[in-house]
Amino acid sequence: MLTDPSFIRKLDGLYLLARKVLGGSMQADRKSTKKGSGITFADYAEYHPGDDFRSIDWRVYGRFEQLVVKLFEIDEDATVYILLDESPSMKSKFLTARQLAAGIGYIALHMLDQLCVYGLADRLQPILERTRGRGKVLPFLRGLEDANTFGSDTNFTACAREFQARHRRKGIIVVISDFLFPAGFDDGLKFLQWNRHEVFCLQVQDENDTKCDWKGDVELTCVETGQRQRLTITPREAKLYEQAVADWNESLRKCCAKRGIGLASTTPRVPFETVITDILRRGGLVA
Amino acid sequence: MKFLAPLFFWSFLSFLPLVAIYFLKVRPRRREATAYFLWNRVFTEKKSTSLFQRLRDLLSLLLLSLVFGAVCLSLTRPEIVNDERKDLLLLIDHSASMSAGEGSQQRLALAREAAADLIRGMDASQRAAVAAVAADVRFFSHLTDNPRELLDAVKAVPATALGFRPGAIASLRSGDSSEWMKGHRMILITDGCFPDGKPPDGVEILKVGEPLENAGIIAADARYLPGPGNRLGIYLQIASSFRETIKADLLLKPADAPTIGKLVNLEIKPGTNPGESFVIEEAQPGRWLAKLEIRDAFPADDEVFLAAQKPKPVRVHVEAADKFFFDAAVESFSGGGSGFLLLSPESPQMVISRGKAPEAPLSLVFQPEGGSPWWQSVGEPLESAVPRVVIPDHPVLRNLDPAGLNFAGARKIVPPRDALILIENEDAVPLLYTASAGGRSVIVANMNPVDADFFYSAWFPVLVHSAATYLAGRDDSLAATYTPGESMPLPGVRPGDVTTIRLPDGSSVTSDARRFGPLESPGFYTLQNQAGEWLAAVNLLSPSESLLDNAPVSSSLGPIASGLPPYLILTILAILVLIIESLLYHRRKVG
Repeated sequence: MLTDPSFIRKLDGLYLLARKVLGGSMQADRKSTKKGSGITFADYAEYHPGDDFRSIDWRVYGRFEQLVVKLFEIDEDATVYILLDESPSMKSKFLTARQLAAGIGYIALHMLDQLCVYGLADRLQPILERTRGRGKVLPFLRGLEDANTFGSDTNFTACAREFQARHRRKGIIVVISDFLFPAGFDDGLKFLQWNRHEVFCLQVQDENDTKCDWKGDVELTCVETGQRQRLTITPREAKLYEQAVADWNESLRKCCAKRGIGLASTTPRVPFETVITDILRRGGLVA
Repeated sequence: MKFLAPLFFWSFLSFLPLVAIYFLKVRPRRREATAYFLWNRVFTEKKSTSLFQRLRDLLSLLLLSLVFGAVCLSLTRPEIVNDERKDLLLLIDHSASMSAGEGSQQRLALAREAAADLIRGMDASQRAAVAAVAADVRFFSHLTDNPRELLDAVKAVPATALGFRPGAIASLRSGDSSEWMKGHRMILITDGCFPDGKPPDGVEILKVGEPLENAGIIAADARYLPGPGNRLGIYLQIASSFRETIKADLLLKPADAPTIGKLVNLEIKPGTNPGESFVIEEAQPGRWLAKLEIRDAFPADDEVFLAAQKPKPVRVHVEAADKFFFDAAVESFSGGGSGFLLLSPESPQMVISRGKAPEAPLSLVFQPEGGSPWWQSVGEPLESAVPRVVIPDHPVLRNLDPAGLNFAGARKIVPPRDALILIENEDAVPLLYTASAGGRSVIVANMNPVDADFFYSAWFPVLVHSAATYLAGRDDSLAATYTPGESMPLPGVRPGDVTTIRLPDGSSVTSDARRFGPLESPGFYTLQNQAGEWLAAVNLLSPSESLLDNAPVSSSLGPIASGLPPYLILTILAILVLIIESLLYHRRKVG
């Protein structure tokens, strides 16, 4: 259960790891990838007319006779949005998905970021309205615990539009899903990114999604729409299906790489803390 | 098409649950897909086969129905009419010629092997029965499809000295067996030595054996010639299947003495030779042998057994006033070496009387009068005594012209209750009858021989002789030889008498009948009863069994079983279709 002390202890461990990896313990501890006027040096940039004279590094000019300005990381008050796929196709992976959401959300709340969690299916369904502070951890976890799968389809694009209509404030969007969207994921990701959100995809798929052990006559039922079809699955068809899933996942990877979207894939067999640890060690929710 | 087990047509009813079970069975398993849209992509390429997908279940049901129908139909044991695969009756010829040597084997052994080959070649569904045929048909197995049983039956067929009788096979098609035979094939395994050279009708022939060179005695007789002395006449006829004329010695000798009666050198031509007679002077009555000294394929017909015996006369005494005529009638059959009757006043077997019935065991009574156990009453003379023959074939009348007899002086007479009327008048008054009671027998002639001028009639001594031999049980005298399958008379047998017959193998049997048979083994037979002892002989004496050139006869055996039986075809079809269906099923269930 997500509110079990043992589970929360695991989350604490993750938070400590996050602090160590990401650094800072104050408000808006999370480092932004944006460069600006913070206090932590980040990089140099060529001077352009109009830039703040105060940021020109005269020492560099003295040595190289080139005007450069110092860039600092902006310590900002970030908002973390978690879009958790609650469509029926996630039923077998739902616990893992919620554990991952819990881990990320827990860290965000302890970093004093704002957190907002939505369920994703044929429509958007709030799990936790935008909130902040460590005191909201328990309501957050209870909200996740009470969450159930819903809807009769997964329309990511429509959910993205609905999300954008509700939240215009930029933030980090973590999409936790199997990304097996019949209408595709590209438009949705593109839409979110176009609205200047930082998007991170956390793909959860189990063997039922990627492998086909069925053989012979099968009445195939869509777990979401309830559509039915009688098929005869031979090894050839099974192989074609597995290839189609692999191609689909590859297209997700390419899409994320192309758009600079972070992507991590996992299965329910991998403990959620391992996944989050791995994400943190790679530098957090960055592409 | 006919069905041996039409009851199994009911098994088609179980087709209904089969269809229900099948539809339940083929219902596909339900699976939930999280990436249904990807499955749709996979199967978009296979839409061209969707019609086959829909029809495949029906096709499977059709195939399974075919399997089921074929199995049900095979259970009904269908048979195609006029199919060669009828039940077989294997008739093995075990007549005497089948004992002829064929190299190191006898023809019967070849026939047994041929029958065994046929049995081994039959398919499992075909049934057969085994019978042996010679003078008659003898079954050795019932109709069965058990090869072991049939092979044992074939082994059990014995060799015999019987001649082949085509009528034996014809008898199978008459009477109770006729319906049975219609549905069967008769295969006669034979050497082709048939009496008339033609195989029996309606029988397929499987010939065994090649033409063999053989000479044998095919007819024989031995009689003492009339006249003084013991002159024995022997008649012999020889047949040969040698291709050339051959020479051989014929030895005639008594069987029980080391002497030689006669030795003759014969020239034997191919085919049936004319009969020849030989006379042996001072030949003692008893067992005689005629032996052809030759080396050929069938030794059994080279020797014949001959019973040479003088007739034993019936002793007759006359107790009538007209003794002269009666004595003359008796003497007419006792002189000249015939010896059928003998006047013997001292120890008569039969008494001839006129008027009163004598107190003798056997009696012939003319013109009955007074009281007697042989008639209940004798009344007025008959106005009309026109004879009407009641039993024309009776031994007493056999040598007479009964309708021409004059029964003048006949009187109205009532015979005893169990009397056998031989001749009666128009009013059913008996004119000639015979009766037996208390170990005595009588023939009553209801006539006055004087009024009828019967003493001057040629039929008078004939009637006396016939009556005497009939009453004494000698009406059928023994021949010098008989052939296997025949029966021989037992002389001197009267009702209640038992005759002991000693067979050639030394064993004895008893009979209370007047004839003994059918005879089987060649050799001498000794007959003994109250009337005395007689000798009889049995020999093969069959031209067809001795002429062993079977070249004219050829096999006419059709195919025993062409192709597989319908039920087996159906079963194989069911298996094949089942394999196809199982492949489809495997594809449906395992993919």
